[in-house]
Amino acid sequence: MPFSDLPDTLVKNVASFLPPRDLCRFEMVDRWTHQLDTDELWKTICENRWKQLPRYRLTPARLEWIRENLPSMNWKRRFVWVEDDATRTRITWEEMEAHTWYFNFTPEAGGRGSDTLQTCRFSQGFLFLSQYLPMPYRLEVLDGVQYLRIYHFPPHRVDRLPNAEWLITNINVTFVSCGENEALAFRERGFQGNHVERGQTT
Amino acid sequence: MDVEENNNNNDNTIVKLISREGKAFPVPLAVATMSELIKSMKDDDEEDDDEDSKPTEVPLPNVKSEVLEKVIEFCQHHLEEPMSEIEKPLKSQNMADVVQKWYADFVDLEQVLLFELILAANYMDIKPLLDLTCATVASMIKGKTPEEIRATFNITNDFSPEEEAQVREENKWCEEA
Repeated sequence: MPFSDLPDTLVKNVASFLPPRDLCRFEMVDRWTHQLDTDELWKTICENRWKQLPRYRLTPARLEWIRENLPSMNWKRRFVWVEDDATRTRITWEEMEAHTWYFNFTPEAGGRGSDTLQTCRFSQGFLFLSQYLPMPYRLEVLDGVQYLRIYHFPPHRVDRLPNAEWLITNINVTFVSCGENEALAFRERGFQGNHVERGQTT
Repeated sequence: MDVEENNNNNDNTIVKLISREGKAFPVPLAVATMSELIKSMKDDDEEDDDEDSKPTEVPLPNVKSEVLEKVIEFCQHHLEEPMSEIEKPLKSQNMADVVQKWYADFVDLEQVLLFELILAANYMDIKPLLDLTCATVASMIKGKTPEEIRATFNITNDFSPEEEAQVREENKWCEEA
């Protein structure tokens, strides 16, 4: 009895144990595996994966956003779309301006953990930081790396955290974008040291 | 569930499972009722006959002797050492990493028998056995390229060149890393 004699429902049962990349490769095997209706499996995969990404977590509001912005995509394509979007290392102007940011000085530059942590915003080309006049900012790419430039300060390198939030740093300061749910966690951390530790984003 | 199984354990009732070939496999009721199919059949006929003198016969015309033997082996062991839930998605290609050793050894089988066990587990409605066998097939897919999966299961690539190009384009993402 060959594998392809198994009925579709049972093959889907098999497929339900596969991680996303393996399920994707399995669907490339032949016409039969390609036409299996795995959309429900992909939806579960999305739900689980996006739990780790505060900005993409499948809340009712987020579901609404998906229906509006990615209407013609099935869950597999939505998964891949988010994987691409969540690992993209260039931030857009719109994202800079839409996100809430947490800001701190490094200890070397006078930061005192949570005592000096504050939120800030980028709006209409200016950084608004309390006790400072609005500072014009721009984004630029140098040798394939994106930087945030403010006045003559050393360029701030743009990075992406494993939870898809943005990390922008130079030797003096750290900016971290925050999904609503993550705000507290970052606030507690107070950015001790220059860099928020990558891979340790609760 | 546990209480019920224990009750059944104390019960000496024997059920005869009859394979496709007509071979009878006498098993304790507790073993037989691991199968939801048999359980529902037993529940049904408890109402009409009380003559428990001769063992009930359960015909399983979809299950070959060779397969039924394995099913019974599984059910017997499951009563002694219940199988731990297999986590989704599989975290290893090695079944010994995702389930107790006895179960990992149990599914170290020829593909044909493994597929037949899947069909039997589905037909007899034995969820842990279905999970175990399906997870085992998944473990044979995990970590492989489409070409390696074809080789593993002897599947022919039946895409036309145009279709194949399109499938590749659609699935670029999983070929990258």
